[in-house]
Amino acid sequence: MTTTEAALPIHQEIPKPSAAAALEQATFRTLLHAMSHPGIVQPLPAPRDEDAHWGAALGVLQSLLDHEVTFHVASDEALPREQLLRRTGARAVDLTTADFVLTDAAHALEAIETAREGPFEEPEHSATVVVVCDQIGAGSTVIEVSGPGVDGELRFAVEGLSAELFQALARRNAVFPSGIDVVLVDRARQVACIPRSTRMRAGS
Amino acid sequence: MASATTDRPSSSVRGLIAERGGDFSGYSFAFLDDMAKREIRRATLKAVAIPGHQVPFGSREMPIARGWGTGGLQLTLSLVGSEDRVKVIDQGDDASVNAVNLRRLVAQMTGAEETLDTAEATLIQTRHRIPEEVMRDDQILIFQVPIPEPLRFIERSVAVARGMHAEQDYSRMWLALYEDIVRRGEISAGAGYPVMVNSRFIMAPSPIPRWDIPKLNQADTLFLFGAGREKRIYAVPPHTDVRPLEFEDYAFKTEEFDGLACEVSGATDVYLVESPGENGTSRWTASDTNYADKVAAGIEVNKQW
Repeated sequence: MTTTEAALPIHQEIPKPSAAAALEQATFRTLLHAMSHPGIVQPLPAPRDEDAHWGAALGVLQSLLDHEVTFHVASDEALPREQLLRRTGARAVDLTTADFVLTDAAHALEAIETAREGPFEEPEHSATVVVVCDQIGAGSTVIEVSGPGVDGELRFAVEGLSAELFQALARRNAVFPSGIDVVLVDRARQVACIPRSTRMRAGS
Repeated sequence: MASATTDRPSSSVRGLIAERGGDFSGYSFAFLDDMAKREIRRATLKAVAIPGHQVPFGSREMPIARGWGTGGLQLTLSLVGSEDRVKVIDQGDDASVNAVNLRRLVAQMTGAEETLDTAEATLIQTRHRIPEEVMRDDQILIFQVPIPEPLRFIERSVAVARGMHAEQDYSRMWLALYEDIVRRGEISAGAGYPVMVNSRFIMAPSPIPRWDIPKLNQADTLFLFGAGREKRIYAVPPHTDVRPLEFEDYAFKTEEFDGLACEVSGATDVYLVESPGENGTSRWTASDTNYADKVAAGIEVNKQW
Protein backbone atom coordinates (compact mmCIF):
# COMPACT_ATOMS: atom_id res chain seq x y z
CA MET A 1 0.00 0.00 0.00
CA THR A 2 3.04 2.32 -0.06
CA THR A 3 2.11 3.73 -3.44
CA THR A 4 -1.30 4.76 -2.16
CA GLU A 5 0.23 6.47 0.84
CA ALA A 6 2.74 8.33 -1.29
CA ALA A 7 -0.08 9.58 -3.49
CA LEU A 8 -1.91 11.14 -0.55
CA PRO A 9 -1.52 14.91 -0.23
CA ILE A 10 1.28 16.17 1.97
CA HIS A 11 -0.11 17.00 5.38
CA GLN A 12 -0.54 20.71 5.82
CA GLU A 13 -0.67 22.51 9.09
CA ILE A 14 -4.02 24.25 9.59
CA PRO A 15 -3.44 27.91 8.73
CA LYS A 16 -3.97 30.29 11.64
CA PRO A 17 -5.67 33.64 11.09
CA SER A 18 -3.82 36.76 12.17
CA ALA A 19 -5.42 38.57 15.12
CA ALA A 20 -6.67 41.24 12.72
CA ALA A 21 -8.14 38.69 10.30
CA ALA A 22 -9.86 36.80 13.13
CA LEU A 23 -11.40 40.05 14.38
CA GLU A 24 -12.54 40.95 10.86
CA GLN A 25 -14.18 37.54 10.46
CA ALA A 26 -15.99 37.78 13.80
CA THR A 27 -17.06 41.36 13.07
CA PHE A 28 -18.37 40.38 9.65
CA ARG A 29 -20.43 37.51 11.07
CA THR A 30 -21.98 39.87 13.63
CA LEU A 31 -22.68 42.39 10.89
CA LEU A 32 -24.19 39.74 8.61
CA HIS A 33 -26.50 38.58 11.39
CA ALA A 34 -27.49 42.18 12.10
CA MET A 35 -28.09 42.93 8.41
CA SER A 36 -30.26 39.82 8.01
CA HIS A 37 -32.17 40.64 11.23
CA PRO A 38 -32.99 44.36 11.00
CA GLY A 39 -33.57 45.99 14.37
CA ILE A 40 -31.98 43.16 16.38
CA VAL A 41 -29.20 44.63 18.52
CA GLN A 42 -25.95 42.65 18.45
CA PRO A 43 -22.75 43.02 20.50
CA LEU A 44 -19.67 43.55 18.31
CA PRO A 45 -16.43 41.74 19.09
CA ALA A 46 -13.88 43.89 20.95
CA PRO A 47 -12.13 46.16 18.45
CA ARG A 48 -8.44 47.02 18.36
CA ASP A 49 -9.35 50.64 18.74
CA GLU A 50 -10.22 51.73 22.23
CA ASP A 51 -11.71 55.10 21.32
CA ALA A 52 -15.09 55.04 23.06
CA HIS A 53 -16.97 57.05 20.47
CA TRP A 54 -15.53 55.78 17.18
CA GLY A 55 -13.91 52.49 18.14
CA ALA A 56 -16.73 50.09 17.27
CA ALA A 57 -17.59 51.90 14.04
CA LEU A 58 -13.95 51.84 12.95
CA GLY A 59 -13.87 48.11 13.67
CA VAL A 60 -16.92 47.60 11.46
CA LEU A 61 -15.40 49.60 8.60
CA GLN A 62 -11.99 47.99 8.90
CA SER A 63 -13.60 44.61 8.33
CA LEU A 64 -14.99 45.81 4.98
CA LEU A 65 -12.67 48.49 3.60
CA ASP A 66 -9.57 48.13 1.47
CA HIS A 67 -8.06 49.91 -1.54
CA GLU A 68 -10.85 48.70 -3.84
CA VAL A 69 -13.47 50.95 -2.20
CA THR A 70 -13.93 54.55 -1.10
CA PHE A 71 -15.20 56.16 2.08
CA HIS A 72 -16.27 59.49 3.50
CA VAL A 73 -16.32 60.60 7.13
CA ALA A 74 -19.03 63.14 7.94
CA SER A 75 -17.81 64.59 11.21
CA ASP A 76 -15.96 67.63 12.55
CA GLU A 77 -13.40 65.31 14.11
CA ALA A 78 -10.31 64.37 12.10
CA LEU A 79 -9.51 61.15 13.99
CA PRO A 80 -11.74 58.60 12.20
CA ARG A 81 -10.72 59.76 8.72
CA GLU A 82 -7.03 59.52 9.61
CA GLN A 83 -7.46 56.11 11.17
CA LEU A 84 -9.34 54.70 8.17
CA LEU A 85 -6.84 56.16 5.70
CA ARG A 86 -3.92 54.68 7.58
CA ARG A 87 -5.42 51.30 8.39
CA THR A 88 -7.46 50.31 5.35
CA GLY A 89 -5.85 51.81 2.24
CA ALA A 90 -9.30 52.94 1.10
CA ARG A 91 -9.54 56.36 -0.55
CA ALA A 92 -11.34 59.25 1.10
CA VAL A 93 -13.81 60.90 -1.28
CA ASP A 94 -16.78 63.22 -0.95
CA LEU A 95 -20.12 62.24 0.54
CA THR A 96 -22.03 61.82 -2.69
CA THR A 97 -19.60 59.34 -4.27
CA ALA A 98 -18.37 57.22 -1.32
CA ASP A 99 -19.08 53.47 -1.08
CA PHE A 100 -19.04 53.72 2.70
CA VAL A 101 -19.99 56.70 4.85
CA LEU A 102 -19.17 57.09 8.52
CA THR A 103 -21.13 59.80 10.30
CA ASP A 104 -21.83 61.07 13.79
CA ALA A 105 -25.29 62.13 14.94
CA ALA A 106 -24.74 65.76 13.98
CA HIS A 107 -24.10 64.97 10.31
CA ALA A 108 -26.34 61.91 10.00
CA LEU A 109 -29.29 63.65 8.32
CA GLU A 110 -27.14 65.10 5.56
CA ALA A 111 -25.39 61.76 5.08
CA ILE A 112 -28.66 59.83 4.83
CA GLU A 113 -30.17 62.31 2.41
CA THR A 114 -27.20 62.66 0.07
CA ALA A 115 -25.18 59.42 0.22
CA ARG A 116 -24.66 57.76 -3.15
CA GLU A 117 -27.44 55.80 -4.78
CA GLY A 118 -26.90 52.99 -7.29
CA PRO A 119 -29.03 52.89 -10.44
CA PHE A 120 -31.93 50.43 -10.66
CA GLU A 121 -29.72 48.11 -12.72
CA GLU A 122 -27.01 48.12 -10.05
CA PRO A 123 -28.68 48.88 -6.71
CA GLU A 124 -25.73 47.30 -4.89
CA HIS A 125 -23.74 50.43 -5.78
CA SER A 126 -25.65 52.43 -3.17
CA ALA A 127 -23.69 53.54 -0.14
CA THR A 128 -23.53 51.81 3.22
CA VAL A 129 -23.90 54.48 5.91
CA VAL A 130 -22.48 53.77 9.38
CA VAL A 131 -24.08 56.06 11.99
CA VAL A 132 -22.48 56.41 15.42
CA CYS A 133 -24.98 57.14 18.20
CA ASP A 134 -25.13 57.17 22.00
CA GLN A 135 -27.08 54.00 22.59
CA ILE A 136 -29.05 51.33 20.72
CA GLY A 137 -31.62 49.20 22.52
CA ALA A 138 -32.79 51.96 24.85
CA GLY A 139 -33.54 55.63 24.34
CA SER A 140 -36.10 58.24 23.48
CA THR A 141 -36.51 57.51 19.76
CA VAL A 142 -38.54 54.39 18.99
CA ILE A 143 -38.35 52.73 15.59
CA GLU A 144 -40.79 50.12 14.39
CA VAL A 145 -39.47 47.92 11.61
CA SER A 146 -40.95 45.22 9.38
CA GLY A 147 -40.05 43.49 6.13
CA PRO A 148 -37.41 40.93 5.13
CA GLY A 149 -35.48 39.64 8.13
CA VAL A 150 -38.12 40.76 10.62
CA ASP A 151 -40.57 38.23 12.07
CA GLY A 152 -43.73 40.32 11.85
CA GLU A 153 -42.92 43.66 13.46
CA LEU A 154 -40.18 44.72 15.81
CA ARG A 155 -39.62 47.83 17.91
CA PHE A 156 -36.28 49.06 19.09
CA ALA A 157 -35.14 52.28 20.70
CA VAL A 158 -32.19 54.54 19.99
CA GLU A 159 -30.70 57.37 22.04
CA GLY A 160 -28.99 60.30 20.34
CA LEU A 161 -30.69 60.13 16.92
CA SER A 162 -33.94 61.92 16.16
CA ALA A 163 -37.17 60.41 14.85
CA GLU A 164 -36.87 62.85 11.90
CA LEU A 165 -33.66 61.11 10.88
CA PHE A 166 -35.40 57.76 10.55
CA GLN A 167 -38.32 59.38 8.76
CA ALA A 168 -35.82 60.79 6.28
CA LEU A 169 -34.33 57.31 5.89
CA ALA A 170 -37.81 55.85 5.30
CA ARG A 171 -38.37 58.45 2.55
CA ARG A 172 -34.98 57.69 1.03
CA ASN A 173 -35.74 53.96 1.00
CA ALA A 174 -39.36 54.27 -0.12
CA VAL A 175 -38.85 52.78 -3.59
CA PHE A 176 -37.09 49.43 -3.27
CA PRO A 177 -34.49 48.45 -4.51
CA SER A 178 -33.15 51.99 -4.62
CA GLY A 179 -32.05 53.41 -1.30
CA ILE A 180 -29.19 53.05 1.14
CA ASP A 181 -28.25 50.59 3.86
CA VAL A 182 -27.70 51.86 7.39
CA VAL A 183 -25.56 50.38 10.14
CA LEU A 184 -26.11 51.87 13.61
CA VAL A 185 -23.24 51.54 16.08
CA ASP A 186 -23.22 52.78 19.70
CA ARG A 187 -20.69 53.56 22.42
CA ALA A 188 -21.26 50.19 24.08
CA ARG A 189 -20.05 48.46 20.89
CA GLN A 190 -23.48 47.31 19.84
CA VAL A 191 -24.71 47.22 16.28
CA ALA A 192 -28.11 47.14 14.56
CA CYS A 193 -28.85 47.40 10.85
CA ILE A 194 -31.59 48.93 8.74
CA PRO A 195 -31.15 47.66 5.17
CA ARG A 196 -33.12 49.39 2.41
CA SER A 197 -35.60 46.49 2.31
CA THR A 198 -36.85 47.42 5.80
CA ARG A 199 -40.08 49.36 6.19
CA MET A 200 -40.12 51.57 9.24
CA ARG A 201 -41.95 54.12 11.34
CA ALA A 202 -40.25 56.30 13.92
CA GLY A 203 -41.51 58.40 16.81
CA SER A 204 -40.31 59.68 20.14
CA MET B 1 12.50 12.53 -0.15
CA ALA B 2 14.47 15.45 1.20
CA SER B 3 13.19 17.27 4.24
CA ALA B 4 10.83 20.06 3.32
CA THR B 5 12.45 22.70 5.48
CA THR B 6 16.19 22.14 6.01
CA ASP B 7 17.65 22.32 2.51
CA ARG B 8 15.63 25.23 1.19
CA PRO B 9 17.62 28.30 0.30
CA SER B 10 16.95 31.27 2.54
CA SER B 11 15.74 33.19 -0.49
CA SER B 12 12.54 31.13 -0.48
CA VAL B 13 9.39 32.72 0.84
CA ARG B 14 9.30 30.13 3.59
CA GLY B 15 12.90 30.88 4.56
CA LEU B 16 12.48 34.65 4.50
CA ILE B 17 9.37 34.50 6.66
CA ALA B 18 11.07 32.11 9.11
CA GLU B 19 14.05 34.45 9.41
CA ARG B 20 11.64 37.19 10.48
CA GLY B 21 10.10 34.96 13.10
CA GLY B 22 6.91 34.36 11.15
CA ASP B 23 5.00 31.20 10.47
CA PHE B 24 4.37 29.95 6.97
CA SER B 25 1.92 27.15 6.50
CA GLY B 26 1.58 27.67 2.78
CA TYR B 27 -2.02 28.88 2.81
CA SER B 28 -4.03 31.79 4.15
CA PHE B 29 -6.57 31.03 6.82
CA ALA B 30 -9.68 29.78 4.99
CA PHE B 31 -7.65 29.57 1.75
CA LEU B 32 -8.77 32.94 0.37
CA ASP B 33 -6.60 35.99 0.96
CA ASP B 34 -7.97 38.78 3.16
CA MET B 35 -8.81 41.05 0.24
CA ALA B 36 -10.79 38.36 -1.55
CA LYS B 37 -12.72 37.66 1.63
CA ARG B 38 -13.45 41.35 2.18
CA GLU B 39 -14.78 41.73 -1.34
CA ILE B 40 -17.04 38.68 -0.97
CA ARG B 41 -18.21 39.99 2.42
CA ARG B 42 -19.14 43.38 0.96
CA ALA B 43 -21.09 41.68 -1.82
CA THR B 44 -22.81 39.39 0.70
CA LEU B 45 -24.02 42.28 2.86
CA LYS B 46 -25.44 44.08 -0.19
CA ALA B 47 -27.09 40.83 -1.32
CA VAL B 48 -28.80 40.49 2.07
CA ALA B 49 -29.93 44.14 1.93
CA ILE B 50 -31.49 43.58 -1.54
CA PRO B 51 -33.21 40.17 -1.27
CA GLY B 52 -33.22 38.27 -4.57
CA HIS B 53 -30.92 40.70 -6.41
CA GLN B 54 -27.77 39.23 -7.95
CA VAL B 55 -24.64 41.06 -6.81
CA PRO B 56 -21.52 40.61 -8.98
CA PHE B 57 -18.30 39.57 -7.26
CA GLY B 58 -14.76 38.75 -8.36
CA SER B 59 -14.93 34.97 -8.31
CA ARG B 60 -11.46 33.59 -7.48
CA GLU B 61 -9.60 30.59 -8.79
CA MET B 62 -10.31 27.74 -6.41
CA PRO B 63 -8.66 24.33 -6.02
CA ILE B 64 -11.76 22.77 -7.60
CA ALA B 65 -13.10 23.35 -11.09
CA ARG B 66 -15.73 25.96 -11.77
CA GLY B 67 -19.10 24.26 -11.85
CA TRP B 68 -18.20 22.08 -8.86
CA GLY B 69 -19.33 24.47 -6.16
CA THR B 70 -16.78 27.28 -6.27
CA GLY B 71 -19.41 29.96 -5.57
CA GLY B 72 -20.72 28.19 -2.50
CA LEU B 73 -17.20 27.37 -1.40
CA GLN B 74 -16.06 31.01 -1.63
CA LEU B 75 -19.06 32.09 0.44
CA THR B 76 -18.34 29.40 3.02
CA LEU B 77 -14.66 30.36 3.22
CA SER B 78 -15.47 34.07 3.61
CA LEU B 79 -17.87 33.27 6.46
CA VAL B 80 -16.13 30.51 8.36
CA GLY B 81 -14.17 30.94 11.58
CA SER B 82 -12.32 28.30 13.56
CA GLU B 83 -15.29 28.02 15.95
CA ASP B 84 -17.73 26.97 13.22
CA ARG B 85 -19.12 23.51 12.62
CA VAL B 86 -19.38 22.86 8.90
CA LYS B 87 -21.64 20.45 7.03
CA VAL B 88 -21.59 19.96 3.27
CA ILE B 89 -24.27 18.08 1.36
CA ASP B 90 -24.50 17.11 -2.28
CA GLN B 91 -28.10 16.28 -3.28
CA GLY B 92 -28.78 15.81 0.43
CA ASP B 93 -25.89 13.38 0.86
CA ASP B 94 -22.97 14.05 3.25
CA ALA B 95 -20.97 11.16 1.84
CA SER B 96 -20.69 11.98 -1.86
CA VAL B 97 -17.15 12.49 -3.06
CA ASN B 98 -17.65 16.19 -3.78
CA ALA B 99 -19.29 16.88 -0.41
CA VAL B 100 -16.56 15.05 1.50
CA ASN B 101 -13.78 16.85 -0.35
CA LEU B 102 -15.31 20.30 0.10
CA ARG B 103 -15.94 19.66 3.80
CA ARG B 104 -12.36 18.44 4.31
CA LEU B 105 -10.95 21.40 2.43
CA VAL B 106 -12.83 23.86 4.65
CA ALA B 107 -11.78 21.98 7.80
CA GLN B 108 -8.11 21.74 6.76
CA MET B 109 -7.97 25.42 5.88
CA THR B 110 -9.65 26.69 9.07
CA GLY B 111 -9.65 24.10 11.84
CA ALA B 112 -13.44 24.26 11.83
CA GLU B 113 -15.14 21.10 13.00
CA GLU B 114 -16.74 18.82 10.42
CA THR B 115 -20.21 17.53 11.13
CA LEU B 116 -22.90 15.52 9.38
CA ASP B 117 -25.60 16.59 11.84
CA THR B 118 -27.90 19.28 10.44
CA ALA B 119 -28.83 20.51 13.92
CA GLU B 120 -25.22 20.73 15.06
CA ALA B 121 -23.86 22.64 12.04
CA THR B 122 -23.44 26.42 12.08
CA LEU B 123 -22.76 26.59 8.33
CA ILE B 124 -24.23 24.20 5.79
CA GLN B 125 -23.04 24.29 2.20
CA THR B 126 -25.42 22.54 -0.14
CA ARG B 127 -25.76 21.40 -3.69
CA HIS B 128 -29.38 21.14 -4.80
CA ARG B 129 -31.20 20.40 -1.55
CA ILE B 130 -32.51 22.09 1.59
CA PRO B 131 -32.27 19.78 4.61
CA GLU B 132 -35.53 18.16 5.75
CA GLU B 133 -34.71 19.17 9.32
CA VAL B 134 -35.70 22.73 10.17
CA MET B 135 -32.79 25.16 10.37
CA ARG B 136 -32.53 27.86 13.04
CA ASP B 137 -31.75 31.56 12.86
CA ASP B 138 -28.19 31.00 14.11
CA GLN B 139 -27.43 28.79 11.12
CA ILE B 140 -26.67 29.77 7.52
CA LEU B 141 -27.45 27.69 4.44
CA ILE B 142 -25.10 28.29 1.49
CA PHE B 143 -26.24 27.15 -1.95
CA GLN B 144 -23.98 26.22 -4.85
CA VAL B 145 -25.55 27.81 -7.90
CA PRO B 146 -24.85 26.81 -11.52
CA ILE B 147 -27.04 29.44 -13.25
CA PRO B 148 -28.03 32.43 -11.10
CA GLU B 149 -30.05 34.21 -13.80
CA PRO B 150 -33.68 32.98 -13.84
CA LEU B 151 -34.27 34.87 -17.09
CA ARG B 152 -31.37 33.15 -18.89
CA PHE B 153 -33.67 30.78 -20.79
CA ILE B 154 -35.82 33.59 -22.17
CA GLU B 155 -33.14 36.29 -22.57
CA ARG B 156 -29.56 35.42 -23.37
CA SER B 157 -28.16 38.94 -22.95
CA VAL B 158 -27.01 39.56 -19.38
CA ALA B 159 -27.39 43.33 -19.87
CA VAL B 160 -30.97 43.04 -21.13
CA ALA B 161 -31.88 40.61 -18.33
CA ARG B 162 -30.48 43.07 -15.79
CA GLY B 163 -32.67 45.78 -17.28
CA MET B 164 -35.69 43.51 -17.02
CA HIS B 165 -34.96 42.96 -13.32
CA ALA B 166 -34.43 46.71 -12.83
CA GLU B 167 -37.80 47.56 -14.33
CA GLN B 168 -39.52 44.49 -12.88
CA ASP B 169 -40.45 43.70 -16.46
CA TYR B 170 -41.21 40.02 -16.14
CA SER B 171 -43.89 39.77 -18.82
CA ARG B 172 -41.74 37.48 -21.00
CA MET B 173 -41.19 35.17 -18.02
CA TRP B 174 -44.93 34.89 -17.46
CA LEU B 175 -45.43 34.34 -21.17
CA ALA B 176 -42.86 31.53 -21.17
CA LEU B 177 -44.66 29.87 -18.26
CA TYR B 178 -47.99 30.24 -20.12
CA GLU B 179 -46.50 28.69 -23.27
CA ASP B 180 -45.19 25.85 -21.13
CA ILE B 181 -48.74 25.17 -19.93
CA VAL B 182 -50.09 25.32 -23.48
CA ARG B 183 -47.50 22.79 -24.68
CA ARG B 184 -47.32 20.44 -21.72
CA GLY B 185 -50.41 21.10 -19.65
CA GLU B 186 -48.42 22.31 -16.66
CA ILE B 187 -45.42 24.42 -15.69
CA SER B 188 -42.74 21.84 -16.35
CA ALA B 189 -39.83 23.32 -14.41
CA GLY B 190 -38.67 20.63 -11.99
CA ALA B 191 -35.43 21.47 -10.23
CA GLY B 192 -34.86 25.19 -9.80
CA TYR B 193 -38.47 26.34 -10.05
CA PRO B 194 -38.44 30.17 -10.39
CA VAL B 195 -39.57 32.14 -7.36
CA MET B 196 -40.57 35.73 -6.57
CA VAL B 197 -38.62 37.18 -3.64
CA ASN B 198 -40.07 39.94 -1.46
CA SER B 199 -42.64 40.68 -4.23
CA ARG B 200 -39.86 42.30 -6.26
CA PHE B 201 -37.20 40.08 -7.87
CA ILE B 202 -37.61 36.79 -9.71
CA MET B 203 -34.85 34.53 -8.43
CA ALA B 204 -33.33 31.18 -9.41
CA PRO B 205 -33.39 29.11 -6.21
CA SER B 206 -30.60 26.85 -7.60
CA PRO B 207 -31.66 23.39 -8.81
CA ILE B 208 -33.42 22.34 -5.62
CA PRO B 209 -36.50 20.14 -6.13
CA ARG B 210 -39.95 21.72 -5.96
CA TRP B 211 -40.23 19.90 -2.62
CA ASP B 212 -37.82 22.43 -1.09
CA ILE B 213 -39.30 25.60 -2.56
CA PRO B 214 -41.87 26.24 0.23
CA LYS B 215 -39.05 26.07 2.82
CA LEU B 216 -37.56 29.30 1.41
CA ASN B 217 -40.66 31.27 2.41
CA GLN B 218 -40.59 32.99 5.82
CA ALA B 219 -37.83 30.71 7.13
CA ASP B 220 -35.84 31.37 10.31
CA THR B 221 -32.56 30.90 8.44
CA LEU B 222 -30.42 33.08 6.21
CA PHE B 223 -30.02 31.61 2.71
CA LEU B 224 -26.95 32.66 0.71
CA PHE B 225 -26.44 31.74 -2.95
CA GLY B 226 -23.04 31.66 -4.64
CA ALA B 227 -22.43 31.20 -8.36
CA GLY B 228 -18.67 30.92 -8.93
CA ARG B 229 -18.61 30.51 -12.69
CA GLU B 230 -21.15 33.29 -13.22
CA LYS B 231 -19.65 35.46 -10.47
CA ARG B 232 -22.85 36.30 -8.63
CA ILE B 233 -23.92 36.29 -4.98
CA TYR B 234 -27.52 36.68 -3.84
CA ALA B 235 -29.52 36.07 -0.71
CA VAL B 236 -32.85 35.43 0.93
CA PRO B 237 -32.87 36.79 4.49
CA PRO B 238 -34.94 35.07 7.18
CA HIS B 239 -38.67 35.93 7.33
CA THR B 240 -38.82 36.95 3.67
CA ASP B 241 -41.72 36.23 1.31
CA VAL B 242 -40.64 33.73 -1.35
CA ARG B 243 -43.40 32.55 -3.67
CA PRO B 244 -43.15 30.12 -6.58
CA LEU B 245 -44.42 31.62 -9.85
CA GLU B 246 -47.87 30.25 -10.58
CA PHE B 247 -51.21 31.08 -12.14
CA GLU B 248 -54.53 31.15 -10.32
CA ASP B 249 -55.75 28.14 -12.29
CA TYR B 250 -52.36 26.38 -12.49
CA ALA B 251 -51.12 26.25 -8.95
CA PHE B 252 -47.59 25.28 -7.94
CA LYS B 253 -47.32 21.67 -6.81
CA THR B 254 -44.51 19.77 -5.12
CA GLU B 255 -43.40 16.28 -6.11
CA GLU B 256 -45.56 13.39 -4.92
CA PHE B 257 -44.35 10.01 -3.76
CA ASP B 258 -47.65 8.18 -3.39
CA GLY B 259 -47.31 5.14 -1.19
CA LEU B 260 -43.52 5.13 -1.23
CA ALA B 261 -41.41 5.14 1.92
CA CYS B 262 -37.71 5.58 2.63
CA GLU B 263 -36.06 2.16 2.91
CA VAL B 264 -33.64 3.38 5.57
CA SER B 265 -35.96 5.31 7.87
CA GLY B 266 -39.46 4.29 6.85
CA ALA B 267 -40.34 7.98 6.45
CA THR B 268 -43.03 8.80 3.91
CA ASP B 269 -43.10 12.60 4.15
CA VAL B 270 -39.64 13.28 2.76
CA TYR B 271 -38.08 13.89 -0.66
CA LEU B 272 -37.21 10.44 -2.00
CA VAL B 273 -34.67 9.41 -4.62
CA GLU B 274 -34.71 6.24 -6.66
CA SER B 275 -31.77 3.93 -7.06
CA PRO B 276 -31.60 0.54 -8.80
CA GLY B 277 -32.35 -2.41 -6.53
CA GLU B 278 -31.96 -6.14 -7.12
CA ASN B 279 -33.60 -7.88 -10.09
CA GLY B 280 -34.55 -4.68 -11.82
CA THR B 281 -36.53 -3.31 -8.89
CA SER B 282 -36.31 0.20 -7.51
CA ARG B 283 -35.04 1.25 -4.14
CA TRP B 284 -36.38 4.49 -2.66
CA THR B 285 -34.51 6.35 0.06
CA ALA B 286 -34.62 9.85 1.57
CA SER B 287 -32.20 12.07 -0.33
CA ASP B 288 -31.32 13.78 2.98
CA THR B 289 -29.10 11.04 4.40
CA ASN B 290 -28.63 12.69 7.80
CA TYR B 291 -32.40 12.91 8.23
CA ALA B 292 -32.82 9.23 7.31
CA ASP B 293 -30.04 8.19 9.70
CA LYS B 294 -31.51 10.21 12.56
CA VAL B 295 -35.02 8.86 12.08
CA ALA B 296 -33.67 5.31 11.74
CA ALA B 297 -31.81 5.82 15.05
CA GLY B 298 -35.02 6.89 16.76
CA ILE B 299 -34.04 10.56 17.10
CA GLU B 300 -36.89 13.01 16.92
CA VAL B 301 -36.44 15.52 14.10
CA ASN B 302 -38.45 18.71 13.59
CA LYS B 303 -39.24 19.06 9.90
CA GLN B 304 -42.06 21.63 10.05
CA TRP B 305 -40.35 24.38 8.03
